Amino acid sequence: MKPVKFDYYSPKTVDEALTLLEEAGFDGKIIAGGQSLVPIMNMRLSSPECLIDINQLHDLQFIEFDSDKVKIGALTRQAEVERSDVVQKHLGLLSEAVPFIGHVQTRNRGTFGGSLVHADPTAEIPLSLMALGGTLHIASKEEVREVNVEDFFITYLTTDIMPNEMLTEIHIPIEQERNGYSFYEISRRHGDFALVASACQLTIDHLDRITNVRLVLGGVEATPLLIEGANEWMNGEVLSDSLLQKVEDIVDEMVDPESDIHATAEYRRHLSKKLAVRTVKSAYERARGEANERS
Amino acid sequence: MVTVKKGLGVSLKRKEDIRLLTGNGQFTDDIEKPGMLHLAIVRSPHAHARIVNIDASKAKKLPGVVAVLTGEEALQYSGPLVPTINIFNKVPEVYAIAYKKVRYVGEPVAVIAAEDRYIAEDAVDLIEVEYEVLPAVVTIEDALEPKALLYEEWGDNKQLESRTTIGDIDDAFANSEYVFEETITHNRYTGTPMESRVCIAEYNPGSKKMTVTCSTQAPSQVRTLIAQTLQMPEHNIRVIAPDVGGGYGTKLQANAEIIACIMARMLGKPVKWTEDRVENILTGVHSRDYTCTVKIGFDKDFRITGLQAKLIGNIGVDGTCHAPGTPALSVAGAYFPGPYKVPVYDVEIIGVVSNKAPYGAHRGYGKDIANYPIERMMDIAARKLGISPEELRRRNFIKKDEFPYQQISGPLYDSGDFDKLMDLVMDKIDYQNFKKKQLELRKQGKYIGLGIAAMLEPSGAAVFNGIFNGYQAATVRMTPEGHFQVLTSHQNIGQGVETTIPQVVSQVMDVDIDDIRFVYGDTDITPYGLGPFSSRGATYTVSAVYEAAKMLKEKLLKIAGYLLKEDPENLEMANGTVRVKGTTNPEAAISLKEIGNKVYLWPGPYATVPEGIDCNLEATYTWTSKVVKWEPDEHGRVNLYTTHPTGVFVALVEVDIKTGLVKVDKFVVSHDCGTIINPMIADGQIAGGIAHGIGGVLLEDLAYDSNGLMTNPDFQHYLCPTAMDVSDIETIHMQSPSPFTPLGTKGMGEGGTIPSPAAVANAVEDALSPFGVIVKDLPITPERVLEWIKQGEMQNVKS
Repeated sequence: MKPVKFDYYSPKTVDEALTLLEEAGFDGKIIAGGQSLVPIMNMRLSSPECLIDINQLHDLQFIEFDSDKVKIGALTRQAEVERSDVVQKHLGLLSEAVPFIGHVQTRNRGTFGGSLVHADPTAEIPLSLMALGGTLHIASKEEVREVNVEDFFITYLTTDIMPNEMLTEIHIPIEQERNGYSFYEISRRHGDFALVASACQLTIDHLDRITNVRLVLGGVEATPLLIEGANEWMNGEVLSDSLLQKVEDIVDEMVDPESDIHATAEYRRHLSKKLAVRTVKSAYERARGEANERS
Repeated sequence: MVTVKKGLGVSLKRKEDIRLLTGNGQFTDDIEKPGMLHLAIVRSPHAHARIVNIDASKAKKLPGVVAVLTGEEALQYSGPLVPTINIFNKVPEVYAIAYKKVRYVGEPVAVIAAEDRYIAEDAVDLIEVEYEVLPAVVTIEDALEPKALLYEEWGDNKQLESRTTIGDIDDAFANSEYVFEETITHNRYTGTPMESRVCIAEYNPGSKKMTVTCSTQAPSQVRTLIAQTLQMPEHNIRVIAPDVGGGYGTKLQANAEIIACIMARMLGKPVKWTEDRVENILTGVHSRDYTCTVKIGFDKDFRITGLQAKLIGNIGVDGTCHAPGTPALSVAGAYFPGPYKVPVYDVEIIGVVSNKAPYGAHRGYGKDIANYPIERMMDIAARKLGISPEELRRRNFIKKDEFPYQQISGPLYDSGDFDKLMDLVMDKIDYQNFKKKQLELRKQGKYIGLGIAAMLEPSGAAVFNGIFNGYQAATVRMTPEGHFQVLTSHQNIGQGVETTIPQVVSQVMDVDIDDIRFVYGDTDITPYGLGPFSSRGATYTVSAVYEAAKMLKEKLLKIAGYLLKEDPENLEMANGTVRVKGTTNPEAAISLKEIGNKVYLWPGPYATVPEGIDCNLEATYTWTSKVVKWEPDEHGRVNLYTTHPTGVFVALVEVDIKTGLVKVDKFVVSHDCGTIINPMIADGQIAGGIAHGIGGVLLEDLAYDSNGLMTNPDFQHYLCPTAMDVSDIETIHMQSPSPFTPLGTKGMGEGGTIPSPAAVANAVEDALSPFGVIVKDLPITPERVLEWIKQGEMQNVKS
């Protein structure tokens, strides 16, 4: 359970890190919290030749409120997001989702950006960001480009980031309308990777009609699955049993889960329907102010 | 206020915790030796294959690699693994490093010694092994078919086969009012110590002495196994066990440890092998993994008329030489009747070998196998009889005034009161109220359930043939300053012996436990004896220590009498002094410190020790049980266990019928382990045991595919419960002292694990009784729960 030999660098600035990345090319790998990378290196499932440790890049460790959005640095620890007043106030969904990540010890090390670039399709942060919407700032020696979260996840453990690039910060819009959120996940034990997870962020008008809904499922596809087109049939509707039934039917149609040792595809499909209904219902109740604490 | 830190029955905080919690513990892997080499083991990727060729030439050329050794080359240094235990079972010829054939995935085929572990692991990838793959025997059916033979010379795949019949079982069933039969299975799981196994071996070619530092439960026994396997003189071997991060039965053998010894002997340099977690899960030792058909008859009053059990255990590659596992099945055979009166009994046991990892000891050791099928059966029968599970158990319990009770299957039960235990736990739960709440919640779509399992925990085995034969030697020694050391082979594996053993001595000597140190873990220092297995500490070690302390006390009283010019009969020990009984006159007292000082130093023994008393202020006592019976009777019955804690465990669960998830809300336990030494530590043993049981019934499953490949040998896929997954636990103690130990104590390390799987399974069935759910395969996964609900509903519709 020891990794293969690798070179190790600890850059002090983002520029320095980007230069190292450029030089290392495909052999380079960034390490931040190391909560996913270190185990797979120790199991020799991955053997990067060059590790670039970005833990000294303190400029990438922040949570900032900025009128209509919250900016989060890629190196911000998950525990900091969990405890942040700004996040609690403006991005309730994240506050609800982050405690599901591993355990206190893993959240103390694991980073917000690390979870996004690792792109595990069951992970809480990718799912939540997909529901919240937002842009990812990706830097290389040449430029900083912005990518919408919808375009970021390519497939299992693969994102839009090129080998010479690094995620630096994430901007998440703050919802101004009457809104509600909810996050649920099912795992065999607390802290495990979700078998299925579900995140929902929605807004309603003064007559409690849905005006916008973003429902995302994890563990059912190679990337977090945004139930596209939900707005077309949910907008203008007040929540009802028939609408929830439709949620269940649409989810059933859209998910394509796989089997593994923890759960069969059929069970994941079953869970995704049940969780989708739970999250939509609970987000809606929150939006109406019926329940601050979900049942 | 000064806290008095003395005696039995006091919840003293554990002396060892300050060291461990401040990071000052020292485990084997913390130890570095000058010039030490590190080992990595090449392991078989196949479940069953012949080794055709091993090419280590590339590995040997890798800079930093010092040596590579194959199984064939190891024959110069070591014989086959010797049996650890053998109750009339077949003994295979197997080696620490596979020779000619591999029989499970993960079996060692070669070992590398290198300058560091990184290089050693790099070299693993460079060793080319050519295999001729053979058909894999994975299931019990594969083994019985037989799909292939593991040991051709046996002619079948049965390591153990036995049958015991007492009375006419067919007649008993024919005359029963009711007869029920079920086949009950259990998943394979393991003990999962926090610290995996680690071994440092050093060999001095000049003195021919071998020092082995390792994470083991049993230093003396390991010394013997090493001597016999390596065919070395045992007096030249020293085994040291420093802090050990848990054992749970899984550290009672020397198999991989032998590899380190071979390498040290070959190289003349210290070598370290640290088992990683994948190796630990992959190579075992494993347990459970059985199918048991139970047939039980009742008369019109619901009293048991006869019990028949057919147990087939899948013991993997071997449970005798690799590890002491196979006899666990025999223990089950002796204890199926459990807490109940059974007039006619018939049991058949088969242990089949397969291409899975070795079968070893793991908290429960067959007592769990005896418990789960029967306690499940009691619930199933109660439901069919239309009687409460509580009442069915009560009708059949052995009664308080029947102890000591000669059980039909051989064991002699020492003491207990099952009815009282049931009263205690049922009062605490408020059963009627629970039932009311259960009905109300069902209307809201919530399903809660209550499951009962009665528990009998045979503790302190004395098994003939091998290293588990049941005695204990203890030395109690007073130092010149009047403090005490207690020396035994009973290893500290986290069970609190650095605290509880001094409590026993302080009970005798009336001194503070901080003035007493428990010394263990070094075969050059402690008397030869047995380590903690079979929850034997409070049966054997405590009794040996108690008797040795009494002997030393007698000697000290004689010396004090001589010094005080008093009859020793008139003297007593109090607060670290010897004094005339009842007096507070300082003239009529002498402190232990003064005695120690006078005898050993100023002036010395010739002026202070009366004639006829030896001046060495220590005493050694070897305790053996008076009730162990090895001579089989006409039915082949023996009695191996001396004490039997008892209990009634109740699990309260909630099942989410939409997701199938089971949450254990609470365990309420009534428990009786005789005289309690430290109630806090006793509670901890029960809680830890329940965590183990919850793991086995809900989460942990060593999964093999049809080719014999284990699919989950890591902690991401093999799911151990964490503190977050374990329920609240409330324990009520009662004390029925054992008549068979001097203090009435009983060992109690496994009692939490034994009944908790049945309690949870019974609770799940109770919660889901509207759907007619029957719990079948374990673990109880959410998917299985949904499947059982579906099956139950279909059954309901049909009927």
